[in-house]
Amino acid sequence: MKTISVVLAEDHHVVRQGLRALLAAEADLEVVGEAASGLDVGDLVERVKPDVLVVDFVMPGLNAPDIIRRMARVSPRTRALVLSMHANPAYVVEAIQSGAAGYVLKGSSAAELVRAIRAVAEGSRHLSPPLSEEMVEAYAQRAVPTGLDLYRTLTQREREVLHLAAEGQTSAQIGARLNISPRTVEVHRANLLRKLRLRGQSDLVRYAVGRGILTVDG
Amino acid sequence: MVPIWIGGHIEGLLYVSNRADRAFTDRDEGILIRLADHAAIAIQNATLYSRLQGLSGRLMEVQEAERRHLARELHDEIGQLLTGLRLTLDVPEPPSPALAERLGQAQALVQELLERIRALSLDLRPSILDDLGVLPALLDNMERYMSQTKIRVHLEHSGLDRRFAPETETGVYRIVQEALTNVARHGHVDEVTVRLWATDDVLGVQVEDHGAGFDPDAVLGTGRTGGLAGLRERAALLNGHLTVETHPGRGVRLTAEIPLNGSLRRAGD
Repeated sequence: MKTISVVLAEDHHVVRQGLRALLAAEADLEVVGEAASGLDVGDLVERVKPDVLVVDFVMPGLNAPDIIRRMARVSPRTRALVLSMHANPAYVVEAIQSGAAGYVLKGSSAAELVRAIRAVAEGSRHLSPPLSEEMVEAYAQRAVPTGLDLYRTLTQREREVLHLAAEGQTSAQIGARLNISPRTVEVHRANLLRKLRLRGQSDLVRYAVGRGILTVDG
Repeated sequence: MVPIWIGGHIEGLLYVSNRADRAFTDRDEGILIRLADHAAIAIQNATLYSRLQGLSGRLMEVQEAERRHLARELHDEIGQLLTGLRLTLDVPEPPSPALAERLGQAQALVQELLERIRALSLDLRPSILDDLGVLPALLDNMERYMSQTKIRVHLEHSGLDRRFAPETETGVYRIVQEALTNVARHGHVDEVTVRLWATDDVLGVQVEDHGAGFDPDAVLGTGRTGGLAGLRERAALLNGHLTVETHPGRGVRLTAEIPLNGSLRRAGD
């Protein structure tokens, strides 16, 4: 039977001790190194080049995703298994995007952890239950920018000022129409230009035409 | 030259020169002294206001730091100890069935403790906000919000897949959280829209519902503004601004912009 070499990166002494005892009971697993700080992991992994790195998501100095990205350069064959308190798919996505091969919850049983280590060592991806690929995919979808209609971000006043300014009215005229001071009109105008990412009056008119706020005769 | 007196000290001097070819009269001087008194009051108010804002900002910082500390302590320290305990209780082959049962019960208790600690820590301050940023933190918050309130959150966002200054992330997270809580409490709706957008200069947020709304003058008049004043203050402390648009029966639209580089630049400047 081929032995799987493992490095444990976990800042909590109690947890590390528990993990070490647990893995020692498995004949095919061998702990070849331990680190308690995110900054030490890179050097250790580069030196011992283990088959699997078991790494706590939150580590002092450097979190797991940064450690894993760095590891890809110094020991590309090492597979990373993230150990985490967080069942939240956002953490899982972050870990996987950084290159992690597996994600195990700290509440998991010993058997589950051992199963995960063997799975990632063999080259497959492993998410510990109740995490699932579907859940990770669903989160990743929600995090993709939806885009938004910047016009909707305008307040009612800003919309009114936009419409009147597009018609070519001056701040004084708009102010008189809306019953506010010309200075206030200027503030609304500046705000709406910033929100719509426009530079000035000609941009504003072009935008208004494009949106159908202003119709061009002829 | 007229002194500006504030609380027995000369705070400044008002210099006046005469363009006309005549000396100042006693009457002119009287007017100037009164002008200086008005200036003194305005200066004093402005000073007090900025000091108050400074204090209030400091208070929010301290509160946020304290929450972060407690949340971390609970989640990381106590949580890790419980995890260690769980691993210790995970005995592969218990010598007797009775012991196996007791161990199982102990493990279940530890699991429940872990879950409670996690919930408490999330309420105080979600570590996801510090670990992953404002968008993941809000996505998570909205997920819980939807399952707790049955109100559907429709989210539109662009430019949020990056990190911002910690105080900006905290501010925006709290603004959305508070606004959604208000919607659940007073809105009487089953749907709310949240918009988040970021450019190089500005992080914007809008929370809009088509629910009950309220009379803004009446609410602000009573001084019982609840979360609303707090929201406005949060935005102001980050040099941003927050607008609340509402009428009874016409829903609420809350829009805030937070500058990312000091202050909100005026377009065209």
